[in-house]
Amino acid sequence: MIRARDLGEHLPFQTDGDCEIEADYAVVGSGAGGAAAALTLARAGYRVALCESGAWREPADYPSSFFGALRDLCADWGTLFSRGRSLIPVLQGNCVGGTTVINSAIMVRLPGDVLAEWQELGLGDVFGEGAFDRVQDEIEEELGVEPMAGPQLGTSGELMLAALRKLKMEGHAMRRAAPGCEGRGQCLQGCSAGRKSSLNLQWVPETLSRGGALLSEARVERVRIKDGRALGVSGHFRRVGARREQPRKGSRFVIHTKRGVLLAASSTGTAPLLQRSGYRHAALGRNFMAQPGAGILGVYPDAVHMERGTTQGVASMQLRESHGVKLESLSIPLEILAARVAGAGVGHADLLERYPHMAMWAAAVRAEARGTIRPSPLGPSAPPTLRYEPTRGDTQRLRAGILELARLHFAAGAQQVLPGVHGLPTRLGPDQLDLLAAAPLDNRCWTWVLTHLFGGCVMGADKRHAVVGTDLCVRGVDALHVVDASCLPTTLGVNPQLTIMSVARLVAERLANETTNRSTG
Amino acid sequence: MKPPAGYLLRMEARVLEAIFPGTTDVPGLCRERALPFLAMFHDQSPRTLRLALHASAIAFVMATPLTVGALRPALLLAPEVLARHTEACAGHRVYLLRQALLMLKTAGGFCWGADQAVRSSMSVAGYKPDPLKAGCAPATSEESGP
Repeated sequence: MIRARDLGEHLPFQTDGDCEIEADYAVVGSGAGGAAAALTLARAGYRVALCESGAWREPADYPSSFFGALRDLCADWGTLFSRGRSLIPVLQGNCVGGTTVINSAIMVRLPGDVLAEWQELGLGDVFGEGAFDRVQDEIEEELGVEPMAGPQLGTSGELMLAALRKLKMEGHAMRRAAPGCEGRGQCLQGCSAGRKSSLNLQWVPETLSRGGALLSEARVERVRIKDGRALGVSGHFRRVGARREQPRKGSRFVIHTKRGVLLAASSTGTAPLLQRSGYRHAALGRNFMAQPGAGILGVYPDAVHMERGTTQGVASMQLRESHGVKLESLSIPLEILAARVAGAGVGHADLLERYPHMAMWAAAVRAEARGTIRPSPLGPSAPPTLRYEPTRGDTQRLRAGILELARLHFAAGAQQVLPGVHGLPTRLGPDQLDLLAAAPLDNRCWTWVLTHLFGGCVMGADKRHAVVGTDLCVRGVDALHVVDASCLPTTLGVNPQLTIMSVARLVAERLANETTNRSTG
Repeated sequence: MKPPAGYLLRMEARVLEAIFPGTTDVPGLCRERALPFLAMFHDQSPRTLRLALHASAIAFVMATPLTVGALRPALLLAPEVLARHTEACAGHRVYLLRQALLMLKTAGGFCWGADQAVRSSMSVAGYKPDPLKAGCAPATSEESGP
């Protein structure tokens, strides 16, 4: 048996016997929420054990291809789908640093209207406006957040910005945590140039240098709860990217905690983990929310080469208040284009060869739909069961967003757009936008992707509908906290990364202060 | 799960070849290129993905009565009929058939889109070989601190 009492070390996949660790806090998940909370507690002097089901990857180990990214960096190879009338894929990171490794590092501050909504839900004491601003300022400075400019935007971003100006719509270059971005267009595969401030390069190493421990390829299977208090977590090491003949299951590990357990296993992981741990609450696994989206391709007379420049560089909030839709440039690699372009065979091939002339822009909806998330009956290593279906209103808003993007493409000089909507022609010209305006509202006709996931164990003052109380504890269990997007009570209508980091840091600060006050008092 | 039999891999390679025929300027996905990729895919991917690919390929091969009104499996059709079947699958009213084709396009796209010959024909930068490693250790705190 390994007894890792000396923290400040990294324990990757283990097969040589059980592993036990003692720490002040255990943090499950090393993405935006988990790494933020772990570092805050480590800076306050606590011993933190951080568990991550994915592997540690250095930028030199990042794959180039999208296939490699799914295999090495993504959860379950991207095989998690929402099950409703339509099947919608979910893309999440599964490595140290979580989704911060494979996203576009977009950092948007929490909109004031969302904060006001949260305060109405009784969270004013937890998330005061001043506290949120302070934490967001700190994080932006630590991660080197800056607006994209010049060649970083790429031709696709520049075209979108010009079109937004031409149509007198709000538009801006995104602020991203990617100082010195070289515009390689490889954000989705990790940034092999190491320019992205993903948390495997920032906060996790600092947590280790402050005495924290990291267990990677370590899947937490249960939170150990006894007499209404969280005592730690347990699980097994599981090899990521193993070939079929290699053993996948490794040693068992147990983390004993003195002060508490913080869950940040994402909106698809935290609620199922609580359910597997025997915790019961009527709202657990419910209120799953998302900002699903789809894209539209514009085909231009001149080469665009959307793969050059940052993956996402330009956004517009023009439709956020009226339709709950955000518009963004989104470059996709050639491999994904092959699946995204409608058709198959000869006609499909004719379109694919126009890839250098294409630009993809996407719309994401602040959806009103609510779904459920449950653990898989096949065990803790299988993807959870997610039931989610955008409402008719969500699809209407998506259609409005896609229509606006089509107008923008034509304003930017596109000859055709490829809407990718079943029931519409594969290519539409500028005089065919009425067809897009009347596109079918059946979700199965649209190529949705589910990103920006929220809920599953939301926070609030209402005991029946909120799993996490305003005291930041999971109701009925002391020393058990949720610090990822699963505790957020609403969607945001903007990219959630900075908000998740800020919520996690505020919760961790409060825990650190409460403990300090208790011991000094 | 046992490795797929050779005939299953060959069938999937031929299906991908039909879906990605190429043009005069851009190469398609030939079965000689698809076979080693599929072998790697089946060696490394999780069971759900492997099963989804098998099921999608079988659905494509057996869906000919729904698309071109033929009773023969797709891979036994004449080339021009197979091409009609392929296009019809992509736009078919049965959602699951469209999803099966999407699965095949996704898997084939991983291979086709990463092919150096395809990328250079479009002046798109090529990929370096992917390093497949088990999780590696972080740099020491002195090297990688903020």
